Amino acid sequence: MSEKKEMSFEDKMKRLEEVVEKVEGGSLPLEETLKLFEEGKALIADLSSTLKEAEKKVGKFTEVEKEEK
Amino acid sequence: MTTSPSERKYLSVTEINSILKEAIEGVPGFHGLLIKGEISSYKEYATAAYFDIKDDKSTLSCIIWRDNFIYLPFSPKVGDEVLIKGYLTVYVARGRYQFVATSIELFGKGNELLRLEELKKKLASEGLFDESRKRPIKEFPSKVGVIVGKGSAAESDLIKNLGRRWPLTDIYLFPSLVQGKEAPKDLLRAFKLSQKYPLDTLIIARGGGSNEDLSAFNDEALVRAVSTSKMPVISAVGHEIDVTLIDFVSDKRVSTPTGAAEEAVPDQEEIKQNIIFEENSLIDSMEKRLEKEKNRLESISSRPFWKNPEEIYKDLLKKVGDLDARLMVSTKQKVEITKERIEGEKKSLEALSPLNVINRGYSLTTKEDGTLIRSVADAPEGTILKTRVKDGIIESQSKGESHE
Repeated sequence: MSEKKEMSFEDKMKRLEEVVEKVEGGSLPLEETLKLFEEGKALIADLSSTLKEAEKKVGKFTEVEKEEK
Repeated sequence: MTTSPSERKYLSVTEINSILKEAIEGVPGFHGLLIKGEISSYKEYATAAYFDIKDDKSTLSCIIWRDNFIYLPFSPKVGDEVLIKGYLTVYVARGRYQFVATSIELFGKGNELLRLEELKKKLASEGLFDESRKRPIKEFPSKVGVIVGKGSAAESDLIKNLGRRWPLTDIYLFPSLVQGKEAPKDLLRAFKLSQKYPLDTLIIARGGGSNEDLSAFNDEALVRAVSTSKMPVISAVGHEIDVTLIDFVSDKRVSTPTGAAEEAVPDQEEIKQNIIFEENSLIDSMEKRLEKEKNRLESISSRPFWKNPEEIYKDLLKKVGDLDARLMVSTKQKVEITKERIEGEKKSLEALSPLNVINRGYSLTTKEDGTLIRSVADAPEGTILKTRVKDGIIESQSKGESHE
């Protein structure tokens, strides 16, 4: 997977679900599980801080009545 | 001859009007009448609405009691072509006959419905309403477009709910007329404009209203245009019972603007809960996993051979010992057997030995070098002789051959 793009909130949520599922599965080697665990923790921190910032944000709002030039 | 006024027969005004009332109401054909006309005046009071309907030559006074008009699906107004149902009566106090309406419906609505049904069938047969065309709504949209009546309750409802639920989404508002003759054209303009923006989702919304008011959303050109939308469309036109063709062609249909906001964006509170839930599952399963690994390690490290390594080859040693013992036993036996055999051989050999003959009294004579004397020629005069007897050796010297 290329990492040229910053992952979207959606991508991160999906990845988190995937990571949790894998860790829950318990069939992976311990080293890999630990790596996934760290990744999951990082994703959670990232997503939570995005949401915290969002609380302060007021949704950007554009009114388009006529075609913009 | 004239009769006095008191003797002449007459009726009071009330009586004649009452007789007429009874007569008219008694005509079976005057019940359940259906009359078509255009409303030329309309006034609503607390207990009833008074109105006139007319055609090009005549006018009819009508009344509808409150009990009936509160259930009308629309508000009648002057100019409406209507079909009214009811019966004829006389208003005794005024001496006027009037029509008591029990229901009023817009004339042409039937035709309108028929036309709409045909259009619906046509568009359906072209596949515009197919389930397979419905696209999923993006769960976390970054840009959401909203086509809605400018300054309407639906507009403020959407802005408020979209922003509260998911402030990470940018809202693009495309205000439009949503009712009246110009509405279909203006909605189409707003829709075309929306297509020029990289939106994830488009909401087309309108508060509830009578069927008449929602007709713009049944416009064929608009419905066809919406069917080509680049992004999934959520329609929220009217309330639960009102369904328009836009609803059939949209990717998701909801009944209220609030519902549209719920469909378009996630609820941040819910997402926070989800993240907490995921975090708990992550930590739980990691802990369980570590516990499992620990137990595995413990069950291995508690095995006895770590303290008594010889346990590992104890069995092996025993086996070797057994083999050794067996080997010893069988070797000893073999040695015994061999010894016995040798002993036997020895005995039979001894029986033949010259030493045995000597034991029986014979002797054996050799030269000094041990060469056996077999003939007189072997021992000329002077030869040193060694004679072996039973208990030793006698040394002597030969005198040569003797002639007896």
